[in-house]
Amino acid sequence: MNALKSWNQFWFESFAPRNWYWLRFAMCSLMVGTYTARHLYLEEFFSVTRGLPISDPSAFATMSYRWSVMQWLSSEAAISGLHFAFVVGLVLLALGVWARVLSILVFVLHVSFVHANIGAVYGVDLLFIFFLFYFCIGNERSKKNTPGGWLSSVAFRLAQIQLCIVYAYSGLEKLKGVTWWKGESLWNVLANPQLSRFDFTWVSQFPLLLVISVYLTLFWEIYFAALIWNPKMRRVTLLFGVGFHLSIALLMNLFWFGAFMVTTYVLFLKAEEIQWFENKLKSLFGDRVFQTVFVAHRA
Amino acid sequence: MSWAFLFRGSSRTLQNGEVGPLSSKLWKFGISAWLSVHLVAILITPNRATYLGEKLRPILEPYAHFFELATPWGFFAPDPGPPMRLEYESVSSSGETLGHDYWPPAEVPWRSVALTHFVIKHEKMPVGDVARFLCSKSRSAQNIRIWKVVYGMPDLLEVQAGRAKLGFDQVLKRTFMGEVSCAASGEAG
Repeated sequence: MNALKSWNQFWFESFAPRNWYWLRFAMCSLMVGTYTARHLYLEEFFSVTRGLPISDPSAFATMSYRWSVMQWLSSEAAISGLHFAFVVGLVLLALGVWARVLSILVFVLHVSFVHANIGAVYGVDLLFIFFLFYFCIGNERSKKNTPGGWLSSVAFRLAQIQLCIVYAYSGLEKLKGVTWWKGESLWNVLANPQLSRFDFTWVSQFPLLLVISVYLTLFWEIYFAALIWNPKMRRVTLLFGVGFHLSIALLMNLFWFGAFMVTTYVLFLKAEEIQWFENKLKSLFGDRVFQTVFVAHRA
Repeated sequence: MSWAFLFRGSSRTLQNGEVGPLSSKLWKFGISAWLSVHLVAILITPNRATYLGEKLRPILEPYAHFFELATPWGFFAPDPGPPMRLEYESVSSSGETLGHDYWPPAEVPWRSVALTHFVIKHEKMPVGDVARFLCSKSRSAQNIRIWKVVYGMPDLLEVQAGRAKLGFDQVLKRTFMGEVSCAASGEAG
């Protein structure tokens, strides 16, 4: 009976609506940024005549059960229009307008664009899929002790666990690589002109720092799933992650990925920390703007 | 209709949309059943090339592919990998070289670099697709010659001593992929 009680408590009674709202706001805002940027290069990614879509994606990946609404679009204008509608949908979803319906529509469109050109996606797009999926299930307006409330709690827990899975796999997969074992991988990232934003020649003067950073990254990624649930380690784990991901965002050509990973930490913030953050926003924008923009569409 | 007795007197909406105790149990049982499948999917699919992954493939693949939950989560794993790009020459109908360039250029967003890597890394690079794309970059070209170029990473100690520098200096491997007619690729100039 205790196991059932714990299962019930963990999965069905753990929803934090304000964390959920801010996660969705932050994630959708970042999506607006990254997909507005993609809109400028849309032809390259999706134009059948002038882009780099792969004519036979099944040579690269199993395409069974992978679908896309874009298979029904033949003109470039239609693709552009759909992409624009997708970005507008994201703006509305960020604000929480028609969140239940828009979560599903945005998820369908996002997966459609991913499947339309599987080569034109990278880490951040794949992470968005999972969290959009959970936004389809959970909503901060759902009432407690209702099916909607239970599903919201499940979605919240799944999002937390998803983050742990991402880090654990990411760390364990790295252990297969020689350069990670030898502590050289960070150098290989910073010295790669396609990845780094600046000239990092000067970093070669600090090899020990590079090696320690590699091992710290491995340790932190692999053990994130254990550390984050420990109340004493939660803050340190999150602070290390903020530093790690902001470094990626600022120093490498992966701004959106780094910024997104930081926003997911909202899932592990306590109610008083969310309150502190909201108070800061209120003092920054004024109570009226805060109420109109951020609170109007949530419960 | 025969199942209606299960919900009779229990699925009635209580205060604030709450449901009765029996209906609540049924809901939670149903959600837990789906949750178990979903948890297995997100835990197993990143490492599906295993005995367990193969055994569960008939159930997990449709689910994971339909919702696109089959991600391996190998960021920079097993190794970050070297820089690589396409080198190409546009050629006129008389065989004269009109231009020489690289793709992706330095200024494009990471998404373009990732797309190029995705195409280049594959052992059977789709030369026709790449040619059509590169032909659209140089409209007067009749043909496109394409090379795949992989660069070496400069050794840290060599850079420290000033004997090597960062950038696209060390060509590790330059592979000729072919000369393709832009007309055949659908992008004649």
